Amino acid sequence: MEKFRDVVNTWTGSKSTNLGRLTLFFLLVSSISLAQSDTLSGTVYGFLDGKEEPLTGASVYWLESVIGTTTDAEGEFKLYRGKNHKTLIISFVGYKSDSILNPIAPINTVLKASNELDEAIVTGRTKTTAIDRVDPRKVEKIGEKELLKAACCSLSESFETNPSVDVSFTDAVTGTRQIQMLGLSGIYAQMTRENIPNPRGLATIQGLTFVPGPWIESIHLNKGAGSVVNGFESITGQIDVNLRNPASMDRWFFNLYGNQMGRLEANIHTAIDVSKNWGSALLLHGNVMETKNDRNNDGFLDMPLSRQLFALNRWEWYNDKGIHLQFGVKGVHSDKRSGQVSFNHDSDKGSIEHWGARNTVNRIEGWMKLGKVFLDKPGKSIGFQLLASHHDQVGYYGQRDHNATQNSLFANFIYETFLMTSNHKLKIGLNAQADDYTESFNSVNYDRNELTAGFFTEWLYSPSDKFAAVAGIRLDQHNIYGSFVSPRIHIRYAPDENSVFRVSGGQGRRTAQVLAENAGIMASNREFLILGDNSDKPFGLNQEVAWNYGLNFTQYFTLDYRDGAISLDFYRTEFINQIIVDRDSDAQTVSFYNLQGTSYSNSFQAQIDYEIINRLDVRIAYRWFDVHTTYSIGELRVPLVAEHRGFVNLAYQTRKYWKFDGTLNLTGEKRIPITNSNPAEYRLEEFSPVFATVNVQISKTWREKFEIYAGVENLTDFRQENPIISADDPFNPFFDASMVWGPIFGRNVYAGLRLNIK
Amino acid sequence: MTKVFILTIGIVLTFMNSSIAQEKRIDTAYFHTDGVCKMCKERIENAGLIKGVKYIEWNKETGQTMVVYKTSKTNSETVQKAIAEAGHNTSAHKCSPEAYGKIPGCCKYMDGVEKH
Repeated sequence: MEKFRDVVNTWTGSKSTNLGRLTLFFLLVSSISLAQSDTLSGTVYGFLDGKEEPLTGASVYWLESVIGTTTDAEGEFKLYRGKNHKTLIISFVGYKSDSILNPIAPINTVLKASNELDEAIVTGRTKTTAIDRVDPRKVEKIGEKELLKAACCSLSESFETNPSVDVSFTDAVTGTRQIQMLGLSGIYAQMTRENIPNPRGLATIQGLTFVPGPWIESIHLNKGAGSVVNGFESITGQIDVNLRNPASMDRWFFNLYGNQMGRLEANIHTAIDVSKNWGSALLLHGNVMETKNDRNNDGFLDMPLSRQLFALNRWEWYNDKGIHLQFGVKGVHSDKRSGQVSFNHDSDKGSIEHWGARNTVNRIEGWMKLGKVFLDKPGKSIGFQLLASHHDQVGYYGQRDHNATQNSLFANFIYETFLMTSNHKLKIGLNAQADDYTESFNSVNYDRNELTAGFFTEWLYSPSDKFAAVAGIRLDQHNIYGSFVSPRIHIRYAPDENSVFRVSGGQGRRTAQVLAENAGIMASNREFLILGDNSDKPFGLNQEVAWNYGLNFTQYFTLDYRDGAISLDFYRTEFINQIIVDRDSDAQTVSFYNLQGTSYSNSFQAQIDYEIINRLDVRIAYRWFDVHTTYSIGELRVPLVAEHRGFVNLAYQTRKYWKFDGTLNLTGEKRIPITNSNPAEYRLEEFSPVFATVNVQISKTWREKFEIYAGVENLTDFRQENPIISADDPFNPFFDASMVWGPIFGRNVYAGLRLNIK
Repeated sequence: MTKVFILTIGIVLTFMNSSIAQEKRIDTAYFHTDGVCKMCKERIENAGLIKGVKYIEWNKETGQTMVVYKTSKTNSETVQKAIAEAGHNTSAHKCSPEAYGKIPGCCKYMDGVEKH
């Protein structure tokens, strides 16, 4: 069986892995297939503290050809063997590559690296979420199994079983979900797709819904300042999404999903081995929701009606010189209609009798990655990344129009090498980002161009398995904001193999997309006041600039033969400038202005993971957020952020492959923006109540091929009562659908199936 | 506060002592199990992780299964029976043709499929 596989473990792979792979390890390659002489398979082990552990992600390939593979979570691989395949190469970025001439089963090989940093170990029983023990950054990997726990629907919902990221609605009308990290809006976390910043700009919030859950292979979640390699835009963290690729996909994948609200989804994936060098994959997603739901009888749809179609086609190629090429294209069409049940979206636009909203997005992206690893020179590689995108959105919210277009180009060049010894690793590079925006809101134009070019260097120092540090700095020149420096540092100290301390610090900055990021507030009659100066700056406002500092401690343990981990972290974000979204000074306006004073977020998280009895994994987390900002009326707690949050997840699997998963989320009081100036009937409480939501899911798998799942979101049917102020009269000045602190739609039952064909 | 702390430590220590005392009632057994691949490994380990089993690991290369179990709850015999019911022959139990019939083609170790 000839399967197109990833030969080259380049910089294009997960960012976390390159750093750690600097250790001495043993390789045990065993070929067993005597009957099937066309296949060579075996297991790769790493040697750590006197123990052999399976090693994940090692590249194994034939020198004279381009046939290769990487080892899986068990350290195993299977490789096609042709007539001309004589020399087997086992390699890792950061190791001395080894070669075996005419391998005959079983093979025992010792591969040496010239460094002693311990390797990230993935043991036989893969955890669904694992924190990389070696990376100086705190990187949580959310794997495929974890993603399956939340069956629906897109990237924005993929974090529902992860306590590090919160998900909430932007408003009570459009059904848009936004994420929150470290108590701050998701806009301060940098999203990347396979290390290319995306989505960003106009799609910063909405773009998360354009990545269907089944497309995602894994998510790397890095809290804190992050790497300089991908730009200066990360403040609270980096979320890197790896999509399915031809090397890891089954030949066919089908998924169908339906829920009580009337939403239907279908996914079809296929992977093709075009030739020995070429692999291609096609991912298709479509969803439709045409059922009108108004459970709370406020006259407004609880969930928007929608039709969405997403398609992605990607190609991979590599040759025997270590060159790896990838390119792909993704198209998005999304049409969401919301508002009053009585509103007809075909004829009522601009109506003064019925209130409706619609948002139509057409988006196309094309990207390319070209990398070369120098097979004879460990640790040395070069890479080039390119992304071009066109984003077009047309929308209205009641009488307000919001239309915007963004054309973007991103280019990144990275050179990576050992510096003298393999204790020192250096990355240097250049990148450029161009964004051309055309945006209008209520017939006012906010057209703008941004052009940034930057240089970065990042140095990894890992003198021993106990200590590693990454220091990065970048210098950027912006066409409007001038030049600026963004430093970042990450230090990891592991006093023993089960305890890890991490410290991080760094500065990030970004341009606020004032309108697109606050589109949820357009579902109100608040007047938008953008209090910028009349300069060339986007919206006349300054860049958002913040420092982020973090401390993290993780203790791994084995109790009664089962593994667990305790993790504590504390992060502080301090804004030098922030674009304040002020809904408190006046209940009939929302104003945007540069920060005058202090704005900060302190966040603490304690989490424990343990397999409490066989097959029953428990995760308990507590989070505390202290987020304050200076508004024109003084310093206040940031609204709609809970100070205390609790999280419990239980996952159980039976011997017959039934899986049960339950998540409890406790949300503490949130401050609601001040509505004192409204007439009594349009005022809201000062704080939202403490509430709990429960999600459950059951699934059954047959022969790793066919799976049926069913679940209930919000089992206890908790809802925010009257989420819309003045819902009965959306044309009076007090109408506001943006004050959302809890679930709008109550209990939601869903079911689906998945089918893999190899 | 200090009292609570000391009390907690006391309880933890007592718990640890008792678990050390229980250690004697935990045994480790080794036996051979037929199987050829990663899917087999998952099936064997899943099937053998019955009540009373603390830890189970099957080595594909040697075919050896290691089981750590509570002697009061189960024994090597019972674990082997559970594995055989999932379609894999062990030292003490042969699986039934029905159970063997259920395992996928790539795992058919009795039909000449080699370890892979």
